[in-house]
Amino acid sequence: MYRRQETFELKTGLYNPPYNIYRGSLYNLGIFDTSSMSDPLYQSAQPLGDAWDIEAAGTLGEDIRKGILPAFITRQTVAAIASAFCLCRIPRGGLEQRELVRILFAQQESSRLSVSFENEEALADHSRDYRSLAWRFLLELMLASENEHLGNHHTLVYILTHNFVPSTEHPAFHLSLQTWRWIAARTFFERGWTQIFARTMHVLKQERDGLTRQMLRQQLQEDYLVEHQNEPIDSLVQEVKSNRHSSTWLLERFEGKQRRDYLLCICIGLIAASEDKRQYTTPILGKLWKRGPIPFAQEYSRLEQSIQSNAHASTLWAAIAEESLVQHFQIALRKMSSGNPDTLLVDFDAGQWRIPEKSENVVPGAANGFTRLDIGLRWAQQLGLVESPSKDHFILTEAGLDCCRKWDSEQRS
Amino acid sequence: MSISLLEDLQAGEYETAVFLTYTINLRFFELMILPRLRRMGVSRIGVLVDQRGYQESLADPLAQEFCGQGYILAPIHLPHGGIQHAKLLWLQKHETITAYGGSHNLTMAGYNDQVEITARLTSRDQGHTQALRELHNMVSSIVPPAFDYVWSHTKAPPEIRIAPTVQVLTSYSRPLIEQIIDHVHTADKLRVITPFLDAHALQTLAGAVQAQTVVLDLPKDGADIPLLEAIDALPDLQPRFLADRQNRRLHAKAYQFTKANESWLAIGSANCTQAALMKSITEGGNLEFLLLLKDTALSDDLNFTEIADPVTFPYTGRNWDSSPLPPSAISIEKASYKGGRLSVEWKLAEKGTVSDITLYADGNRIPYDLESATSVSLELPPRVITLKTAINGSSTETSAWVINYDALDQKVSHSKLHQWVERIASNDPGQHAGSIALWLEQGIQELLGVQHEAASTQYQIGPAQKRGDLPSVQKSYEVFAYSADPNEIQTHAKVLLENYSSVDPLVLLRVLLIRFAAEPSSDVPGNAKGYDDSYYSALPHNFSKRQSASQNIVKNLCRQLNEVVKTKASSIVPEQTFVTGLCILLGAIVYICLDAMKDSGRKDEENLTQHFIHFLEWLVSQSQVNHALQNPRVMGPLLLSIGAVATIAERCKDSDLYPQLRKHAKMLVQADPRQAITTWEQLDPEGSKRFLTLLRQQNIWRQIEPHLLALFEIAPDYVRRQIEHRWGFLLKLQEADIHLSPDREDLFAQAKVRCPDMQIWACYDAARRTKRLPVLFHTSGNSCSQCHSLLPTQLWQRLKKGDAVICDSCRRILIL
Repeated sequence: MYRRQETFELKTGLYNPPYNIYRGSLYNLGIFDTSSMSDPLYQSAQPLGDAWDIEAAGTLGEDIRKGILPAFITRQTVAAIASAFCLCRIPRGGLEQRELVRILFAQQESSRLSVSFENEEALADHSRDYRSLAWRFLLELMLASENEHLGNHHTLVYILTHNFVPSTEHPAFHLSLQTWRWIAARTFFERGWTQIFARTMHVLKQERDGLTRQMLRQQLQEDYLVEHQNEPIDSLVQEVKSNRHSSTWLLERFEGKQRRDYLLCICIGLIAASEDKRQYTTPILGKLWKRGPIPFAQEYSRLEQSIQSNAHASTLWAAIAEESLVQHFQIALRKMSSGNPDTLLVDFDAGQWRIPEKSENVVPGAANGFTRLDIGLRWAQQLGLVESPSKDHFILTEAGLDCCRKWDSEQRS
Repeated sequence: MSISLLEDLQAGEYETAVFLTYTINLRFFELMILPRLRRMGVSRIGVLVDQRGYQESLADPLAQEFCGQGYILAPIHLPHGGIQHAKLLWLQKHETITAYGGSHNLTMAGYNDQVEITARLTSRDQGHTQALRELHNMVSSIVPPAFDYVWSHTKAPPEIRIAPTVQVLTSYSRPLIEQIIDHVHTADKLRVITPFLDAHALQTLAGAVQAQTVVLDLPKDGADIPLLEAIDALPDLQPRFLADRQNRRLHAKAYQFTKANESWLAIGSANCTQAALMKSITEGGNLEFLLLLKDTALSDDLNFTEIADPVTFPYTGRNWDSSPLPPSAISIEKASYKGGRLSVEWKLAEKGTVSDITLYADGNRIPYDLESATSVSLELPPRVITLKTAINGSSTETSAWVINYDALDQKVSHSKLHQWVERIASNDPGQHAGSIALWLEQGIQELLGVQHEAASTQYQIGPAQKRGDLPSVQKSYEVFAYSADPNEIQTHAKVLLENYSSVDPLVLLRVLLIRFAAEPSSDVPGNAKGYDDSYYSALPHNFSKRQSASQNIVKNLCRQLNEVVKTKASSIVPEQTFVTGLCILLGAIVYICLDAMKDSGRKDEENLTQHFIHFLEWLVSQSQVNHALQNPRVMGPLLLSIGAVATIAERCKDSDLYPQLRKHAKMLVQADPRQAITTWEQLDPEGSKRFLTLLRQQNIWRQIEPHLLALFEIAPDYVRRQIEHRWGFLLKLQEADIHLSPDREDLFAQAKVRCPDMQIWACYDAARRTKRLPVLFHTSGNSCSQCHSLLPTQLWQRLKKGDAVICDSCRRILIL
């Protein structure tokens, strides 16, 4: 829209309308049948269409009802009816809200929830059931964590320190918690890893001509020892083992700015995931342990070997630092080879690590704790399932509690 | 000369690729270059690298996977200790050669990050033939025996008597500076671009050509020596540095010699140093190449700025290009694996006492019986051989990559089918654009009856096999569009091409377009976080890449259409072949318009429309076409292609294009398009269904129909119904008014209430009152049926939607 333009033509037959970006999600939610030319509503989503308050759309709503759009629309009209079309303003307590909840929670539909998470194709086939499980899990988290500080890494710390799913619940529910615990552990690990990578970049930037592998390791060790004593790695591991159930300690490590905090974040991730794998013996945890561009299995083995050889923290720091460069190189190149933009920040050329000129001014960021749970939380608020009495504190509304009850009764029946 | 090698290696078809480089990053090569080569059909690949680069590759922390198995990496030992500094990429298939010579090493920096200058030589340009012959002879004289596996499949182009437009200078037998003087003699002005500098070499070069003015262009962080050294040698030197907007490092090397009436440009690997310019390799100098071009200037896209204060200008202190590895006391001369046997040959120091020789294959000790060779049977091929020994009591070791001929043979024997499978599995839209170009080129050659002895057409891939238990085409299309698993994509591509390409010539293009439009997969499997937060997650959007690839697809289609219209269809081509070829081209036009032009710009749309109009003209002019067009199997695709181009022609700013398209379309097709399509569907139900199906679009005719009918000025049925519904009462009233029917007043009263547009009603009412009826008319196109004035686009669009409009010129009411 041009700033001073007052009237706009409503064009039909646009080649690539912006709404296309929602088509995939709407298809997956079983709302739009995108296999047909005009993307009609699936029959099961018809009530959602009916629930939309067409009155709120004013004269345009009336035109939509008739099936013929006007050729032009004024800025004033757009401003007046905008909220009727806004995806993030669902009328509170209305039919539309209830219909959305019905679709998201797959209510009144036969459920085939199983614990076959390890079979990803089967998971895709039952995506509706697992979507519903994910929502139920989110509500359970809200229910259990009343008055706790949530959001971003606070949510992950809560998940790591609380086994909040009642033992009577469906096994898939427990599996959901286990996999979210893995994500929490992985996020701690990524937090430490990305901060070590950023620090390594900083060290390399000081050397315009680059550093051989040996020189890089030496400089990194020295860089670690500027802040800390060279303690054995085992003492870091013991510290993690004794504190890993303390929310305060975990939050301090996640937010910590010391190089030792970065190493501890890595240890927290590895040890938490390792203990869960041992305790739950779920196949999916075994698979997650081995996969990914930086598999936990490989990094845990590095940790164990370092302990066995009585290595010190600065040695582990330097080893992880170089590995972070290697992994960054591999992943950035792999992405680039798939046609993605060039994101490579380091180079290894003629036996030396160096920072190319193009990334001299780039400071890589650290992984944060924002997850899909945070996105879900915002949705749950719009759907009237959750309320926030104060910042970062959430409680279930009566509608949220009702959703939990319905889900539980459907699963247990 | 501003060639992006990564972009250039997207298209073309070759069998052999040979690289010469000083340094190498194997991981970069394997991830960024090797897949490109495979998709270009290259099966024999070799890299010749300086000894230092070879040794460094063995200690590289970035894991490589295919060295010795997918390609050969071999070191070059120059007899007098100089370093292999030449950079070359030689691509060959039969007589077709493309060679890139310049300053780029086979590294990320060389191919992507730095400012390099590279020239492309091609066997298609006869002025390059002599240079290609010289380069081939030069490389032939230095390749080690192990490299014959690759190099013996190249050959120099045959000698011709045409004057060369480019000369090749190498330091193989004479210093480069002497050869430069032979050609250039003298120059008023010398411009040198170099990241490494030797003041003496610069002074000698300037003196040798008697240059009055010398401009020296350096990287922004300076050369390896202080600039003052060069100024001491040449006090009038005009130094500059590269102020690059993208902050890239200057690694290019170039020499521009200018005098009153001529100029010479030399580009290549040679820095302005003594080791590069002033010594041949027999004198211990580097192996360097320079390409010398007459009356060619460097492009001015590089922005150099004068160095105001040479005293404070920085320098790097690096001195890489004159520091060869010290001669090794031991060396592995051969390490190969073939038929389950590992063969190793080595050479020990001639002086000194050698003891404790041990040999390791991937760290495992292996036995040997002879003094300097062994051949042992091994079930699994090793990757690296290490030789350890003690000379005069001090231990030393060396390693070499094992050349696994079994694996290499397997790569070579991979069929054409495999190349297309790899092309399909790529995630890079640029690669798909290249593959589509190749597909089109081969299809057009078929259409025009151009046969190549070695190139079979792309749609006859693989034998047709029995159809039992095959995945459906639709299922495979879903996999190509949505799967992130390359193995799954490859499996489906193989099955589809093996079993369907012989019955559906367009299947490959359809698959390539589906892959082109597919979103790239995430690299972090199991990422449940729903966002790319970690440092290694690249920006997820692929828009700009796809946009540029889309432009390339359109450009190539236009180029091919241009080729077609310049040719006369061969009368020796059987009609069936011509019909098949025509259908392939028409199908390509339809699919590209529908699927590959979502991100293209107006210019591309106008360009394609223009070329398509020329193509329609060409069709009219071909004698074979008239007969072929009687065949509904041709008429159907032709109509669809006209309709598909109409969809983009409607968006063109050039208002002449659409009427031109209409004119030529009507010249070719007189029948009602809907009937023609129905006849085609009845006559060839399977073929038409295949043609009309694109991924989730079960029938693209539905998408094209309104645009085609609009082009042919036929209102679609639903618009007719809408017109009847909205304006039927007015037509009825007009009829009654004209014939003074008794019910006309009732009809008038009803119409007054019912008319949806006050302007239209006012216009009708005025005409009725002034007895100027009839005022409501049908029109069939974007001009008034009564006064023949061209209607503004906005009115035409409204007419097409079923509205009634008033002609600005004669004030009559028009409906379709």
